[in-house]
Amino acid sequence: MPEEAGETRNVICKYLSYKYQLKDGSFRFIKLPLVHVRLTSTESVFESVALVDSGATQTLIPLELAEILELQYENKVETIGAGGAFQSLIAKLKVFEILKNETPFSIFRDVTVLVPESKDVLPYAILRRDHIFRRFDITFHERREKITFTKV
Amino acid sequence: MKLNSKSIYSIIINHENLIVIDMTNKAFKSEYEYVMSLGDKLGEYVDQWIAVVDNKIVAKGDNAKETFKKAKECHPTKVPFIMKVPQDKVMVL
Repeated sequence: MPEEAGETRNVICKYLSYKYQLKDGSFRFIKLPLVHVRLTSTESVFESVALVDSGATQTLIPLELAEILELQYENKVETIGAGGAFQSLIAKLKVFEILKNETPFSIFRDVTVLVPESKDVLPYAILRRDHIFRRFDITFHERREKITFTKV
Repeated sequence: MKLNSKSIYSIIINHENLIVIDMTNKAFKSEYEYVMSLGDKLGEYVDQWIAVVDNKIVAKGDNAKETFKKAKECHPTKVPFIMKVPQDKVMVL
C-alpha cells in the first residue's frame, strides 16, 4: 500500500460520545475512539466510522457495509478475538480513506479486509494496527475524549 | 428563548451569562461532524442504521442496505454517511 504524498502531520479527532436511556429508565454512556472514514469499491462509495484498535491485526468491515460495497470474496478465514472465534470472508477494498473535515488525511488502496460471515458481529469497521499505526503515532486522550494522530 | 426538542443547541457559559445558540441550520464541515454535534440526540437512534446527507438524517432502519438505498434515492449524486449507532455492548476482538 503506497503512502500518499501530502498526508497531514498532526490530526486530532474527537471521540463519539452520547448517552441514551433504556426502557427501565437507566442511562447508558457511549464513548468511542471512532474516526470518520470513506469506503470506496468498484460498485459503491459512502462514508462511515471506524474504530482505531491497537489490538487488531486485520482491518474488518461489517457484513452490512460489505453488502453495500458489493465486495467480491476471495477466501474464508477463522478470525480469533478475545470474544471467541468467527468465520470471516477475505476481500479487497479499492480505497479506504481516513477523513478529517471531509478531507482524507490517510489513504489506503487495495486494502485486504475481513468481513464477518454473519451480521451484527460488528457495529462499525475496525482499523487494524498495521495499517494506521505504521503511518502515525497514535495517542488516546481518554479523559479529553480525543485521539491524536502524529505522522511518523 | 423557547427551546425546541427537535433543534440542536450549543450552550456557552460566559462569566455569568448563559448563551444559547441554535445550531440546527448551522453548516457543518462534514456529515460526521454533524453526527458528532447531535450528542445525546444520537441516543434516539441506538442500534439503528442511519444515513446522513446535507446535515440531515435522511433514512434510518434496521437494514443497512435499505437505509443506504433510501438515502441514494433521495440524493442520488451525494455520498451518504452511514453508520450503526452503537449501543453499550461489550465488544472484544
